[in-house]
Amino acid sequence: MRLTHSWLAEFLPDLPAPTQLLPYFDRLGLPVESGSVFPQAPAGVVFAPVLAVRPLPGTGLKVMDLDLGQRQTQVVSAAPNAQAGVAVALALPGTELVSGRVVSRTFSGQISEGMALSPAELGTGEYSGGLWLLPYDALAPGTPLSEAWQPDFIYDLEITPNRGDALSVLGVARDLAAGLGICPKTIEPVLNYSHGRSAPPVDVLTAGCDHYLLYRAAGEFSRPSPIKAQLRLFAAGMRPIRAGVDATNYTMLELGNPLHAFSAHLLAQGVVVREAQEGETLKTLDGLERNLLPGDLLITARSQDRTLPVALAGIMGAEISELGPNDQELVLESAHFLSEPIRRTAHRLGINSEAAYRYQRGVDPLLPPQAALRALELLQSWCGAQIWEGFSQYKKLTSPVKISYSPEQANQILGMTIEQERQAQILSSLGCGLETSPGRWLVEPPTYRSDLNLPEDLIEEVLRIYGYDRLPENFLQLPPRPDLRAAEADYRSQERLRRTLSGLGFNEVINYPWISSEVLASCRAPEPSRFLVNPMAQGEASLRSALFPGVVQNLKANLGEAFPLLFELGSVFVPEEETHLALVAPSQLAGGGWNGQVLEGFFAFKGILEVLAARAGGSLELKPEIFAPLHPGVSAAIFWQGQKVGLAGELHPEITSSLELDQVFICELKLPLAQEPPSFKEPSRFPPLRRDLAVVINSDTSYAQVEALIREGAGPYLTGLELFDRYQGPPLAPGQSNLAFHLTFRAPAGTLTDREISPYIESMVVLLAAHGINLRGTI
Amino acid sequence: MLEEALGEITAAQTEEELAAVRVRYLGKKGWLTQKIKELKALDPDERRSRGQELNQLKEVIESTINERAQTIKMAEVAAQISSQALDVTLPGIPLPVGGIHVIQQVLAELVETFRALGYSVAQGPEAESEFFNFDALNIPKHHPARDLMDTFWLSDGNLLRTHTSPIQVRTMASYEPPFQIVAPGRVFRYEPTDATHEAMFFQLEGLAVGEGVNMAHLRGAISEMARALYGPEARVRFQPSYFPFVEPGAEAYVYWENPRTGEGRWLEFMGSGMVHPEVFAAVDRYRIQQGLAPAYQNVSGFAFGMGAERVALLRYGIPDIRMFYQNRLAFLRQFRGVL
Repeated sequence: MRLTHSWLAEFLPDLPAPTQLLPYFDRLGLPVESGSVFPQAPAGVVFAPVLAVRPLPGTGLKVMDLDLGQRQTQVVSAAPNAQAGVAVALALPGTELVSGRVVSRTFSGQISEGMALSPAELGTGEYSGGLWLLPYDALAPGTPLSEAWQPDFIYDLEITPNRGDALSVLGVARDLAAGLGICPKTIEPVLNYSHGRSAPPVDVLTAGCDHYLLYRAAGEFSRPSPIKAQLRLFAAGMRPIRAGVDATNYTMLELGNPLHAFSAHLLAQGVVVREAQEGETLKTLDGLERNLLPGDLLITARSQDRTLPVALAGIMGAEISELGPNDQELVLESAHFLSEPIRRTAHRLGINSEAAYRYQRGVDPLLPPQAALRALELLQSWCGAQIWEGFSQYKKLTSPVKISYSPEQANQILGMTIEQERQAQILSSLGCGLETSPGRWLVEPPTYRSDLNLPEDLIEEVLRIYGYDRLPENFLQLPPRPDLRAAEADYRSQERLRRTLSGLGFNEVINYPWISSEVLASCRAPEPSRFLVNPMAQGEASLRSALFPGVVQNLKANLGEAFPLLFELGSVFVPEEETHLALVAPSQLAGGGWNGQVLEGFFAFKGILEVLAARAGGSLELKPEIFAPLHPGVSAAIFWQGQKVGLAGELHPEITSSLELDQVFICELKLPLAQEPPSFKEPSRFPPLRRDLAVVINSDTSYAQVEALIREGAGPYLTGLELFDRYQGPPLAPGQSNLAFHLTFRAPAGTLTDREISPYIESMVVLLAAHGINLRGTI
Repeated sequence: MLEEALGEITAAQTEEELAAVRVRYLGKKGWLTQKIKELKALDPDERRSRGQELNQLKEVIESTINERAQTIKMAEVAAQISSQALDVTLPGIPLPVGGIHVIQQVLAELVETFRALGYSVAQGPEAESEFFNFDALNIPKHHPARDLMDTFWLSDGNLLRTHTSPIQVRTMASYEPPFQIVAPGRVFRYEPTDATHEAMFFQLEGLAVGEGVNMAHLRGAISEMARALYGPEARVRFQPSYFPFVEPGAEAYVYWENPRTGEGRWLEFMGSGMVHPEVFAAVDRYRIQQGLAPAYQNVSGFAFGMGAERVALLRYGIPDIRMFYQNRLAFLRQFRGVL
């Protein structure tokens, strides 16, 4: 929320200068997002009443005769709102503006002695109407505008959603007063009432409204508002429109109660506040037709036996009831609506008006009379309005909140001691009523603090004014929790995996959990099964069913880098949420420098997986299995400790070619991997016995089968098995391979002899032969 | 003769040449061996004197050959060593250099700090229910605080968690107090992205619950964290703030000096507060539903949450938060100085 220093100072005459004041906002929990000087009117800009306006034939431009007091002058303007009876801000020739130096120019034979300015040209704010219009008699003609437009300071405060009370100058002033230990000024409206007529009658038929007031007024509402008021509206980020509307906005900014000025003609027969019926619609003043639902609060006008919606209560008025430029009579609404129904409706319809914003966050239910009188006072002063004394009111009294509060408990929760007298004084300074008895107080928060309901809320208030920064530091000692520590196992294993993989040359990437279905499909990943209702980008609505498609995209984006070996450890949704690990790498994992040594291909990639397994203390096995994303000839299921946990292989050549990639190897597996803690085995102190073995296999036999048979037949002393050669070619038949192994035997309790090993070797050979695998020779 | 032999020994350049010389003089049919054999034919006196002469000659030749052998051996080793010399300034065989994502490095560092303070690590799902993400955290439907956390909704009615705070609820739902946990995790906000906003970022959540846990304890924990990240002299400021699931609520600021410009300013560092009574009540209602005993009636607790990206942005002077998840190695590989 933005507000100016001068406005605050109207409530707090002893206010320190902005630089001294800034830290107080932060300390009070009304942090300053930015603080900036609002500069005064540029030199050379004068106040110029418009005497007459005539068209400049054939141009669409207008010539304005302006009164400068000592003399008259004329300017040419293209603005649609150039009119007599108001004043404009005139930049005299020679004035330096942001847009450049103003000079006299001639348009179609008419000289333009300067430039009538829009708010944008003056740097005050956005404004669609054209020229900045000022009241005709605001200043003496020709006076420098800086006389009424002094420099000010704008505070842009970040008001948290609980502090609806601080969404006004008054609210901020109240808090500052408590924080600074000063007293805010009370401002009483002064009004002259007319008699005879009265406001339309009011019926409230919904619990969503507990306070409703209507006043009737007549005046020149289309006049421009005073210069100071318009500047404050600009500073607050609002757009001045005309005095009749500006008065309601000004009052809302000042006191916090949204107000609405209706054109009076529709409301003659009375106003009914009710909930919408199924099928009703309303065209709000932003021109949109809104579909209403039961529960939406409506302001309606009686019309014979019907009630016609004229506003979405507390949110936005209807187009038909808007106070127009020609309206001389208005009905002013000052009301309190409950937060809940306003939130529901505003959310559903996506309307975030200043009024809805405030009602959602809580407005003081007792504020409507004060707000109405203030707005009427402004209307009287700005538009010369006639105000009728007869008002209509509906008011449902709510019982005050009383909170049982223990100053002792407050100190316990804070972990420090704030004297009871100080606590009481702070609560009083915030407007709380106090009934104290030893140890237990009854605290009645002011009606504008709807956020204060629990003792904890009051404790925060006490600390807020006392000073958060006076809290001491202390250190908690809690007993250890072995059960919670044990529950960390998965997290710890993820940390270790990250360290191991990065040590193996893999770089961690982190992708969004959402991905486009096309990317998943192009990588032949499983169909997505969970979807975002509101994706960031159209088409990225699927939650990923696998990690590798994203990482393959990353690989493609990083092909220019050396060794783009990538991994991701993260969530997938299949449809239940799982944590996966994916590795993606190009064929070459290492080497390729000046000496030509290269580590590449599927078995290099598999080697990485084996190191990973060895580091994790588990057994990893790849078994041939066809997966859609993988090259049918290089496709395997990963088994971890005998459990199938994922896939590994070469990305299908059709996928790589459509992505314009060379060979890519991928692996994706599900975490956590089963962990088996290592247990100590006494290393043998006796020398090993080595035997080599070579067998010939046919293409229908896999290496894994041979290894399994050797291990089965080799007996208990086999401690090492290494395939040291694989040969294909003459003199072997096509499809045959010669596999040569180093076998190591070792006994825990003695030196092995050939005699002890021979029976095992023989039985192993027999076993192999029984499976059609013949020895090529033992060495 | 001796001179001739010594000349040949000295002339031998290789072990093979030297072996030939040895054979020529000392071999079975060598000159000296022949001469010694011929001694038999001489009379005893002459044989003795001639024998001594030949033996001396043999010793000289043998020792000279051995010396020469030593010399040749050393020369060969020297030659071999010199032939093995490498230009050690040539580059090594290129090996891949890996790395942990910079944000995971930061999280690991944060987690480590809290572990040292006795915290355990907890985790939770990214696709979360509305109950755990909002309702149980005192953020009912239509609450304005939900506006602060624009949400990615899933078609099944769940959502992508907007903060790591649901892990607080999940932990309390499963464990009885007292305990203290930290929970690192990814969170998601349905927001337009720019240099300072990402739709996805990482948080570290903390929760301590027990009897007598107070706000001074909270301040101690947060200040300790700041000192771990920003040095032992780090200055931390506390000011009021609002999060629906804590009361009182606080925002911690840390004073940060830009290492490049030397300019200092206060930075939002961590949102925190005392666990809201409504959260404890919601947890106990949930525990009862699950058939567990309520356990959060007579305890107090504090909670805090912070973003990991900001720590990295400041520490490394990264200008744009979106760089973290573009996954460019040219970016990621700049931050791998952590073993």
